[in-house]
Amino acid sequence: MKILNKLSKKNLLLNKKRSIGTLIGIILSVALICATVGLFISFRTALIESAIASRGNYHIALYNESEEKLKVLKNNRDVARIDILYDIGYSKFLDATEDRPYIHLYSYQDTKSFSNLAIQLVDGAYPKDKNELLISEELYLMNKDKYAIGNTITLNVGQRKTLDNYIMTKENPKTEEEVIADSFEMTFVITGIMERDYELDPHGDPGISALTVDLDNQEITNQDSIFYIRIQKPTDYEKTFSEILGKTFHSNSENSTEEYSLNTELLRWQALRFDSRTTSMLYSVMIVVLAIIVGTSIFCIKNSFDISVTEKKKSYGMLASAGATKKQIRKSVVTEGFMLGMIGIPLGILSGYLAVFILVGLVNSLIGDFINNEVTFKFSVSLLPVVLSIILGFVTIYLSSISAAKKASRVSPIDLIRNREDVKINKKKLKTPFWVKKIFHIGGVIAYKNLKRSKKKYRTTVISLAVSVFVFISMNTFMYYTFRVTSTYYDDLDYNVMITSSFEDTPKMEDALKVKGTDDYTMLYQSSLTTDGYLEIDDLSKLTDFANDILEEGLREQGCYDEKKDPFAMNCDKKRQMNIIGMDEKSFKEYVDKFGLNYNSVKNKGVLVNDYSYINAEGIRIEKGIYNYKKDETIKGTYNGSPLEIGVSEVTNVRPSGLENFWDSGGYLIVSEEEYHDLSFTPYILTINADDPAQVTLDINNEVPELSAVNIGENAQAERSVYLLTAIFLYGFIVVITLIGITNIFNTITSNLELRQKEFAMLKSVGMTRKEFNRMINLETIFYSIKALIYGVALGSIGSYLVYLATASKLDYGYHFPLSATIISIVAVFILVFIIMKYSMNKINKQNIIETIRKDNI
Amino acid sequence: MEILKVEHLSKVYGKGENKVVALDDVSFSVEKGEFVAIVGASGSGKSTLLHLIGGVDRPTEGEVFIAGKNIYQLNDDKLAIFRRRQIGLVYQFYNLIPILNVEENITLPLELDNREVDRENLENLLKLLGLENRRDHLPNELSGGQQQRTSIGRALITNPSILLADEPTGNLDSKASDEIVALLKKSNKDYNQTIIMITHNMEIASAADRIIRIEDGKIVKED
Repeated sequence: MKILNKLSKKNLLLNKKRSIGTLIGIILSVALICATVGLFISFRTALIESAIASRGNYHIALYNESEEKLKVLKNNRDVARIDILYDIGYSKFLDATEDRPYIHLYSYQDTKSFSNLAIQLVDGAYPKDKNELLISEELYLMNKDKYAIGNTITLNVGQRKTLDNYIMTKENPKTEEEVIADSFEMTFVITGIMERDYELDPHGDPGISALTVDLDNQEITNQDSIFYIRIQKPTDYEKTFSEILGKTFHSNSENSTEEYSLNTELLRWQALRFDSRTTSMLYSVMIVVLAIIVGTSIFCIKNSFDISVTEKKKSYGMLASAGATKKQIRKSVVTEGFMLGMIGIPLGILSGYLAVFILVGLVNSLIGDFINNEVTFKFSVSLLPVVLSIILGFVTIYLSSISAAKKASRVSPIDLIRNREDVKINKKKLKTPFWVKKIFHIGGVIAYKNLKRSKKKYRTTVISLAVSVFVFISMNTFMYYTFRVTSTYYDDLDYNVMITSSFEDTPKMEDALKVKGTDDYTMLYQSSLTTDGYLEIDDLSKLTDFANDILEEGLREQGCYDEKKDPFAMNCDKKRQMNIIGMDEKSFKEYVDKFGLNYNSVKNKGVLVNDYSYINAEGIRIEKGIYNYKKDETIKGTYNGSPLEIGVSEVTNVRPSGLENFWDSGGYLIVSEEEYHDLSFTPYILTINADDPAQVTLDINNEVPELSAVNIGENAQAERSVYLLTAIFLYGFIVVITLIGITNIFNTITSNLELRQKEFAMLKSVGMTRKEFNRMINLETIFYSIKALIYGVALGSIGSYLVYLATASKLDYGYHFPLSATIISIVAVFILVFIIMKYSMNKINKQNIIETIRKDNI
Repeated sequence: MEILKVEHLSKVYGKGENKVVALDDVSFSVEKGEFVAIVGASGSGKSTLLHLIGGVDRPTEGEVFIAGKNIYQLNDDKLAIFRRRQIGLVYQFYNLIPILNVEENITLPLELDNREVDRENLENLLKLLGLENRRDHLPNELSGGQQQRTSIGRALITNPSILLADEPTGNLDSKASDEIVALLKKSNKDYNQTIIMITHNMEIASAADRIIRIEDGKIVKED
């Protein structure tokens, strides 16, 4: 027994190249498994932390529950922590405006609640007690001197009551007749400024929020409260929420009701609570990824073992003739595999972790700033990847070596003596095609016969190549659709600051242009006439079938076809309302330039943005054209009661700056504001391409406080970084899988050539020149590469179509044949195979003919 | 006519302590139509000598002239071409290309040279070899003797200046051995084919016209 182990070890050491080849395959496969699992875990951890940092560390928020309920919750062992928020009331204040007439005071009951519930601090510190106040940034900006940190502020806090004693809440905007009732005075020192929290302080709430902590119960007159509950085991959320709510809770129950609301993001990552479409997509992705990894690994490792057994056929024959039983021989092969595993698997795990470490560093440098300021993508060493890699690694090696072992034990002493070759005996005479002989001469004939008669020798090479090509093409399609599905909202914008108007702002929009750094801008205008400010088209023949369908559906939803409804109460006219958008002169010039139009001849015409996209009842995205107008036609319609005709200079789906993400079933007609000034335009969307978007945004928001400028540049960069990151991961994955494939192909080809050394020496001794010999090998290479490519591309196309069905067919994108991926793989296969061939042939050509012939295959 | 001339041929392997002198200043010549046997113990250098004559190895010193041509003045490619036209080689084992049948193996040197196969010549050769019924068979369907006969056929097809055989019967039983020797003799008589054969078996050597004995890399006795 010991001698066989010794033999196994010797075998591995002597056949260094083969052993290393197998080892590399093992390391890559294990590293890939380890890295993939490790990355998912790191990713999930980072996403959980990000959810906590942005929304808070709670799972469910209960509204307006009683003190008794609080006691019950505190006694529930599945509840880890409760952060309590009390809605104290409203107070008037001197700098009040129409929109924001009050300060809305809240109180937490624990100083830790501020950080726990992700209240973002802009400056200063959280309140430590009930004498300290945290104010919203909005208040500070109103009067920086009065509301500075360290200043005192006195509030008269009470409830908003109407004349009939109706208590107004934050959903109710300020009415004329309401008063602050039952108020009491409170004085605070301002200790900190927070970012506006849109949970506490939604749009429409007349009160600017301010937070303090730990008021005595008697000071809390208003019992409106929110209990933020964090549960012990997020994965058991269904059971625990049901307990908390006192009724059955399912994973697809509502996210928020009047009673409660869920921290959906945290639940998504901690409890893996996804909507069914995402869940099924995630599962299918995971299964595909795992299948590819495991499949490729098993194929590669099994192949390596098969090769090594084939090369050592003589030794196994000798062992058998020396008296080793089949079982002993099998054991020696499995032992070799085990030894390789002992080295390869730990190395693979280390490499996998190294890869995760590097990738995590990469992620942090790219998008660390954007996930959230406090969250870094952490590199965490967890047990799961290690355990999984070890198990999968050993299982793969065991399965591979078992089949190779069986093959080895079947070699009988007779085979050794007879020196038999694995050549298929064709009963009929093999005729070489006439053209092969004519063009390629004897080299080609031998190459051709080799392929036909020794199919088995090439099978693994052909399969390895075909599988690699198949995986590459399918993965490419997967990536293509992933990038389109995670659609880039901010992609390719040529501006980085954006201001949209609400009707009250509009005169002030132009004031924004007084701010420094706003020279490169585009101003879009819309009609100030709210109901009649459209170009009404009643010529329905100008609508596509698609648009007509939408029109019909809209009328049906309104009830126009319902006999029970009163037709006079609704507008059931069949017409389409086209939006007219004005553009400032300079921008309009640039816009029409894009289409190659001559500004002077089209300045009184309009560009028709004709596409509309929406998600139908089945959840599929539909995108089609609205009108049948063609270039140089004239649109005839009614504007504000009077007929209006505008010529069409271009029909497109290219939107002007600022309108990129606007969709309307009436379409948009872009005209020059100067030419059509009499249509009563008013500013609508202002986009600016600023050198320093952060500063410009800040300046606009400060100098023209009625406006709300948004720094799109930041979001665009974040989005681009996420895009880049996804690309890195997917490409990284493809690279490793390809590397495994290449290792495999290298092993098969070099082994193949090595086994035929004697044959080659023989040909040379008979008198084949080096040139003829090289030509023969080159032809063999071309022949089986083409064969492999045919299989690979065919399979790849099928695989790609399957990927399309799994991911993108729902989104009505249409199947896109991966032409570039196919071409790349064809070129790559030829290059790769030729390089390997050249390398092997170099070695073969250097060998001495006679020594090779006399050499025994040991 | 002198078909082969060997002058001061030496072959040394390795250096220093590991130096092995396989051939030490060997000179002799062979006339056309001679059947020569080279005998010697194992390791005496006879195989080395044969391979140097056949141009499959390069000497450390000395020259080999075949049909008047100094073969080691040729570069590798020219030597390969010379070899396929002028020299026939038969080894002890592993002679044939496994994926070519008997006929294809035999005509291989002609195909390499892009020459037309003279069908009549081929038929006669197959008859001489006793392989007419085996022409479509692959090597793994043939017995050891049949394989060796095919090798000889390949060596003879181009009517080479010299046929070199390195222990051609070493792998065969006595009956097959006799067949091979008879075959060689016949081709020597009928075609005036010059044959140089290595053997360690004196009985087989006696079939030759002339015996050259080699010991420790030197020629010791000539008959």
